[in-house]
Amino acid sequence: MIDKTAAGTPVEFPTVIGADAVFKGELHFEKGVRVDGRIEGKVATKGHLAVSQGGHLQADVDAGSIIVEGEVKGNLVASDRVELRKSARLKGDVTASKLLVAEGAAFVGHCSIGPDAQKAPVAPPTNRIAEALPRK
Amino acid sequence: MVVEQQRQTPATREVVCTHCERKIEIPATAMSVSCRHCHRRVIIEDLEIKTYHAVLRVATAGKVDVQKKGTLVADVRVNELAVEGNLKGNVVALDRVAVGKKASIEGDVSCRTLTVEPGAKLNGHFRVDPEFVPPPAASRESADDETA
Repeated sequence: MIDKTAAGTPVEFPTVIGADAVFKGELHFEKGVRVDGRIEGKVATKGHLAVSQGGHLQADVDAGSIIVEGEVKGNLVASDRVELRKSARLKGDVTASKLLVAEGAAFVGHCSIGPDAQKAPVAPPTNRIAEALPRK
Repeated sequence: MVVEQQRQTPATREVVCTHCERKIEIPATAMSVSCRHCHRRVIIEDLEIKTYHAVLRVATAGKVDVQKKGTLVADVRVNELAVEGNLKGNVVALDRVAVGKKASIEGDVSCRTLTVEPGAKLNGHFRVDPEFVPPPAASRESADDETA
């Protein structure tokens, strides 16, 4: 059960997507939402989004902060922080001010982390050797 | 009796060759060895980067520690990596990568476990897989010019 951030701050989830629920489409929330079931599509919230252990998210997410304990396929954008806990499985890109990854989490994707990550996404690193060679 | 046996057989440990990715058994105190499979030099020692350090490749079967005031510009192949300073280059770590709160990494990272403290700056493609097996150096770019 997700009820605290890694920093120990308690988080509340007025909306809970139950373990036997499946949502497809675009979902908007004003406050926190916890996903114990499955969502496919797009999710946007100004508050916390938590994917519990056993929860599945196949969606692009735009949230205040994101906590992942379950499985996520999609791109995550958080204005504050993204937390990947030890049971998290994430396939997708992450853009956030802060990233916290616990030992044991699995993650494949591009990472843009830092205070300026959302303002001006930095281009992926280029081949330094090719850059140094004279251009034809 | 046990003490005598320990004296006769020096302690050994197992490391993975940074070139062919095969396991080799080495004396516990060794700093560098030749791989018995690919016959290339394998550096075992741990490295600390305290200042600016720019090379093509850093490869060790030990640990690399980029300290707060350290900047490492290199492609890195290590067993374990800890970054508190700046790192620019691609990273392949056999075991774990730990990124401190004031650290910055610009480059692709492949490892088995990753820990990131909030505040770190990251930009690159990450592959964190507990069953990650690094490809042998032959399939990567030529790395004869490794420097430590």
